[in-house]
This record gives sequence, C-alpha cells and structure tokens, in this order.
Amino acid sequence: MKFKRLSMTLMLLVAMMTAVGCVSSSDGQPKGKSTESKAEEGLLTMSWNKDIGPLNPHLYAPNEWFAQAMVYESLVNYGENGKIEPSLAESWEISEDGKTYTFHLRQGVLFSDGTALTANQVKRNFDAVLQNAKRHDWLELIAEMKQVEVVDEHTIKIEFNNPYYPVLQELSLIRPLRILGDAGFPEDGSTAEQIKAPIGTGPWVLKAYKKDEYALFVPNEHYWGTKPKLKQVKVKVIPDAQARVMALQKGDIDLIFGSGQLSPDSFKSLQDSGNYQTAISSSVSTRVLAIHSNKGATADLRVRQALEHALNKQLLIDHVFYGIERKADTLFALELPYSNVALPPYDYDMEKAKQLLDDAGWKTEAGQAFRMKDGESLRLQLAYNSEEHVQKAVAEFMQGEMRKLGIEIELIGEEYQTHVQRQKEGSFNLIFSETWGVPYDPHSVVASMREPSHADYQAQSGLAMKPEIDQWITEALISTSEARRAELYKQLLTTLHEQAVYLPISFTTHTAVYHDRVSKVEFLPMQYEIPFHSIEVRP
Amino acid sequence: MMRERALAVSRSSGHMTMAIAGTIVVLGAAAAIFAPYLAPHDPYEVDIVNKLQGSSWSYPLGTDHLGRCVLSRLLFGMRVSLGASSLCIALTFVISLVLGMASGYVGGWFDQLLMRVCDVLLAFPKLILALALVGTLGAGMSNLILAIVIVQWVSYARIIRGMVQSLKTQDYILAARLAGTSHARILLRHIAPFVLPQMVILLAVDLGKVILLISEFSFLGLGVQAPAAEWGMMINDSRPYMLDHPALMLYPGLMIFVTVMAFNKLGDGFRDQLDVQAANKGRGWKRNGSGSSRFIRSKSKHSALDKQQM
Repeated sequence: MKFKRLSMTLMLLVAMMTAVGCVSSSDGQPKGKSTESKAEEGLLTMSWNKDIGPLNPHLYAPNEWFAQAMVYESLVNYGENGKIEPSLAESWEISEDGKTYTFHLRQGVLFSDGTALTANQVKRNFDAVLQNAKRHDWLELIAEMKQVEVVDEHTIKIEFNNPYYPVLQELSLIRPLRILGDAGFPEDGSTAEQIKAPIGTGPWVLKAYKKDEYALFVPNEHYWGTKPKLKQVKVKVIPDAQARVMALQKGDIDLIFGSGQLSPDSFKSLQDSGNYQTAISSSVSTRVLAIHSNKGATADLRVRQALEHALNKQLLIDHVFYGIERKADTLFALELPYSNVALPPYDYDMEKAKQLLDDAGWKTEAGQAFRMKDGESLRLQLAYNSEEHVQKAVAEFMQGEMRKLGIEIELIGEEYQTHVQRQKEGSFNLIFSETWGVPYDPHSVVASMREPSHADYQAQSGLAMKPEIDQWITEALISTSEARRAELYKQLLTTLHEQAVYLPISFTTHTAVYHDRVSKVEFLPMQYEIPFHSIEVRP
Repeated sequence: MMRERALAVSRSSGHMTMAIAGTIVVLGAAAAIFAPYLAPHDPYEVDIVNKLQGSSWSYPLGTDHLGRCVLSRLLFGMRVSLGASSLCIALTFVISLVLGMASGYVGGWFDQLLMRVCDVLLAFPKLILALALVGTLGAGMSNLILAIVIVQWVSYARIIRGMVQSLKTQDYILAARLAGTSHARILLRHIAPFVLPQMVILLAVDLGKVILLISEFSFLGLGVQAPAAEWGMMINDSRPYMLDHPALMLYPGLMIFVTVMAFNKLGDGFRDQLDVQAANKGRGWKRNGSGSSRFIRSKSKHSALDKQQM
C-alpha cells in the first residue's frame, strides 16, 4: 500500500513534468488561433485529478462519479432542496404500506446506440446489481430490495422488505443503480467485473479515451432531454494540483471544478489575480474528526469534550480555508432533512477545556511537557490522509494548539487506502472523516453507523448506549410515521453531540475557477455532478 | 615540468575546495549542535495568523504555511539530517566492519554464505529495496535508518572482505601466524589498522548521499513524521505554495544542495589525497596501503547509492 502511494507520487512527478512539457509545446502555436478553433467546436477542456475509469454504472472506484453521471441516468433525479424529480421514470406510485413502488418509464427514450429503453432492460440492470449485493452492502436500499417485476413494456414494480423511507433518494444516486444499455452487458450478464461498452441514456457519449491522459465526450444525439450547448467536453487527467493551476494559467484547460481539486491557497491566489471567474458552492458535506470513544484517553467523555472546546475553528476557517469552507458545529448541516435539531455548540474555550482535563484526572505536573495521569502522559493519535494537503494543515494546526493545552498529538499521515483501512479497524483516537453529502446525508451516513467496518461505528463503539443508537437508526429508516422519524433523528443527533464522538470542523464546498470565455457554471444539488448541460463557451 | 605545475595547481585548488567544504561542514555541525540557541523561534510553534510571511527582522526567512519560523526549522532540520545520517553511517560501519572482516579472514562456508546474502541484496536496486523495507516496516525515522543500514552494509562488507583477503596472504601476517599470534590479535592489531582509515574515508564520501536519501524519503512522507523539521519534508509541505511562495521551497532545497555538495567534495578530496599518497610511495605502497585506494576507486564506480540507481 505504501508502494501505491509512492508510485502515485512518482506518477505525479512524471505527470507534472509531462504537463509542463505539454504546456510549452502547445504554447508554440499561435495562441489566438487555437482559442478560436476551440470556440468553433464548442469545446470545453476541464482537468481532473484521476482517470475517469471504465464507466461501469454498477461499480465504484476507480469509476469517477461525474463521468458516470454524464453517460448514465437513473429512474429519478435529485433536484433542488432534495425534491425528487422524474427522469427515466415519468411517474411513480407508492403502495399504502410503503413497500411497493411502481414506476412508469418515459416513452421514446433511446440509448446512445439507438436501442429503446424498456422495462426489461431496467430489470436486467437491477438484477445485475442484486446479484452482486455483497458489494453494495453499505447501501440499505439494496438490502431492502426484495424483487423487481416487469408489469408491461414501460412499467416496472419494485418490492421492498420494509417500508424504507429513502427509496427515491437512493434510486437517484449516481451509482450503483443507473441503467446500462443491452449492448453494454457482457455475455454472462454480470456487470460485477466489467462491462462491454459504456452505453447509456444520458446526455453524453464517450467518443475518445486514453487511460490516464484524457477522455473526450460528445453529446448523445438520441438524448431525450434538453441537449447541452457544448459540442465537446475534454477531461484532461492532471494528478498534481499545482500542475492543474499551471495548466489553467497557460490556457490549456478552461475549468477546474470540484472539491479538493484546488487547495484553498491556490483558489485564493487565482481569485486574487483577477484574471479568472471563480465560484464557491453552498455546503456539500461536513468535514469532521471522529473521536474514538473506546480507545485510550478519549474513552473518557470529559477528554472528548475538552477536545471539542479546545479547537479554534474560526481561526482555521479564516486562515486555512479563507472562508471557502464554513464553520461547522454539528455533524449535519441544519438545512438537511431531520437535521435541524437545536444543539448548543461547543464554543472555543480553553479554560473550560483545561478544567475538563483536570476533572478527568489529567493534570499538569512540574517538569512534564504534557499532562499526566497515573504515570502516563496524555498522548493521542490523529490520523489523516496524506494526499489531502488541507487535512495535514488542519492536523498540524491542531497539534500545535493541543500542545498548549498539554496534549501530545501524534500525527499519522497515510495514503488513502491505508487511511481507510485505519478508519475501518478503529486504530485511532482522532481521525479525519467526511459525511457523504447530498443525497446521502443524513440517512445513508447514519445507516452506515451500524456497520462495524466504518469509522463512525468504531468511534461510537465505546458508548454505553451504542445498542440503542443502532436500534434508533434501524427504526428511523423504516418508520412510516414522519413524526416518529423526526423524533428518532433528534434523539440520535442529540446523543452523538452530547457524547462528543464527532468534532465537526467545516462544511466542505465545491469551487470552480474558469476563464472568461466560459459561462453559466452552476452548482448542482447532487454532489459529484458537473453542470455540463448548462455551461457555455464563447469564442 | 608543465605537468608537475598543472598537478600542483590542481592540488592547490583541490585544497581550496576542501577547505571551503570543510568549513561548511564544520559550520553545519555547529549549527546543528547549537540550534536551540541559534534559532530565533520555537520551530514547532504554530501561529496561523502569521502564516506565509516574507522576511522580516523577527522572521529572517519568513514563515511557512502554519506560521512557523522557516529559519528555525532549517536549523533544526540540520540536526535531523546530520544526526540521522551520521547514525546510519556509524551503524553501517560497525556492521560491515565486523561481517566483512570475519568473512574475509575466516573464509570457507561462512564467507560463501555471507557473500551469497550480499549477492541477493545487491541484485535489487538499492533505492527500491529501501523503499520496500520502509513500506513493510512502516514510515518513521527509526525504520528509515534501519532500512538504509540494511541496504548499505553489503557493499562495504564486500570491500572490507576483499581488503582482508589480500592482507591475509601478506608475509607479515603469515609471520605473525607462525609466531603463534592469536587470530583475534591479528585481526585487531595487524589487519584492522589498515582497513579502518580507508573505511572512514569511504563512509565520509557516502555521508552526503545518505543525507540526500533521508531527505528523499521524508519528501515522500516515509521518513520523519510531522511536525518534525526536516528539509525534504519542508519541500513537500511547501509544494502547494510553489507558485506564490517559491522561497519556501528554495531554502530547504539550497540547504540540501550545499550540505550534500560539501560532504561530497570533502570525501572526494580525502580520496584524492589518498591516491596521491599512494602514488608518492611508489612501489612501497603495496605493503602499506595494500591496494586500498584501488578498492575505493572501484567502489565509487558502483557505489551503493550511485546516481544510476536512484
């Protein structure tokens, strides 16, 4: 795994050099001319940090969300403010008991190869996903799905084990339930390994692709909805953040979009230069530190509370995030469903933090740099993903701040895979985590809190009321009573807040930086989607 | 005549280089030792409000992305670089000396076994092997030092073995044997004194390379862990600020450059002097130097950390 990280870094270096090389070579051409031809073709060039992957609609990484969303569509769409809108399904009915959903498919929808969308094809897709159910066990929807039935050519009925309330939200997800065309299925009908060709009903078709270099999309001529204004979208793979900035400055790319594609410092520097258009989205997800309630000193509630009081978030927001991310005091943004629970925030208060640590028995002793209890010094492990520069900056800031309080923070920076493994194993006192953003927040995130293979479960594992927490979650997800559900969520969020197992830091956002010739860059309600349908480029 | 003069000029310019390199090394070592007194600030003190400041009277080289004093961090980084690389070299020295001498002197199956182990270790590119070791052992300074020692000792042990083997057949050793001197005494009194000086120079030549290696690993995040001040890590930390604050990257880069260069020049100088000494002694050198400078030259050709392997 370390190797992967290393090879990543080496690749990064190589890519950086290549990028620099490309930039200078394209510089050789007369600049005005190349811009003109771009505009003629309606070409938008965007950078992305990774390859788009094999475009399998039923699988996860290394498939990139935004590319899957360009090619494939789901039965329903997640619209503004969480409103579920028709997509491939024009209308639907939900049975009295909330267990049966009947979808009426839109007529005349064609796949990009010209074949028609039928109920049979939808069933085939759902069955392929259900066959591979183990791979999707994080998603409650798949576990609840009992069977899929074709009623007639354009009607499909899905039966569920329980009246699971977020069915429509989860059907709108980018993966794993989007619809692949007949020609895309391998001979054995299983998409668990690979697909034959990326054939979907979405607005874009993959025209050219070179792994780890670029992908070129053109509009799907059979698309049923409003056709995009762009004629071509080129996604250039540039793994290094600095190389992306340089490519933008050289005019090699038109747009950098997304979360984590630009460091806050680069964004600010590009914004301050005044040469580009910039935009910041509303909150997307929550950046939190999960605090382990069953490991070392953080098993003590007072230590956890002390940590909550000891972090000066405002300083971080102002000087690390430059206001690009907003300060967070709760696990979920208040505007999310069921999340508007009045919880008193843990204010920044060093005195209170000191008092709490003293009460917990961790006392400052003469001659000791850190607080001591029973001959042991107060030492906590904080794990971060070393590929995310922001996490490292926050971690180092926290380390410096906690030193003043007498807490020694040991930083563990690991590459992504190892970091995720650590989350699952629970070998941390504090670990960086992020909620999943809409439409997953809050229901998918709380559902996963019951799975031992999640940082959330690990962090909560020391709470006396953990069994009840799991019960509340299960009940909330299948309760048919709106009021009961709200009550359960309130109970859950209040308990998690009082027990201080999460230290919310900020609400993450998407940023976009683009050249003047690009316009109508909007942010979509669903995280991970990029608004190619609205973007326009002018000469 | 001409040649002699040219030689004299080159030798004096060589002395000049060595003097400069030596001064740099001494200054560096002094800076490392007295870092806590020289540094204007605590190198770990985070002051995020004052981040990315330019040079000023209180922060001569400005502050980094967390508002820490760059000069103080560079000084403390000197400690890490010099300390860790000296430790590496010392460990390598002890291990390769013991094993190399034993292998060369005892010979037989022990020699065979050890040399086959060496063959295996030498079959891999050194950097890759060190990376694999650090990867398995886990990132961290002690593991990094261990990994470097494991990949380093082999080539030295081979050189020492060769030297011991050729010394072993010298008349004076045979005479000692005949006189009934014990093996331990022969090794310690009659062989080691010839091996040691050559080894010290060899290791001095490689010290610069070890410093570079430690910085490389720290750059990749496999060496020291945050918040320790280390040059390689400082370069990596400043990557996101490369465009707006290139100086952040430049300072630690310069430090590495100057230090490594000084050590290399010093090592080269020592080696050249040894050559000259050996040449001046003419035929007599064979007994005294026992061909060690030849070993050193051949050693530096396929040195443990040679550029091709990096």
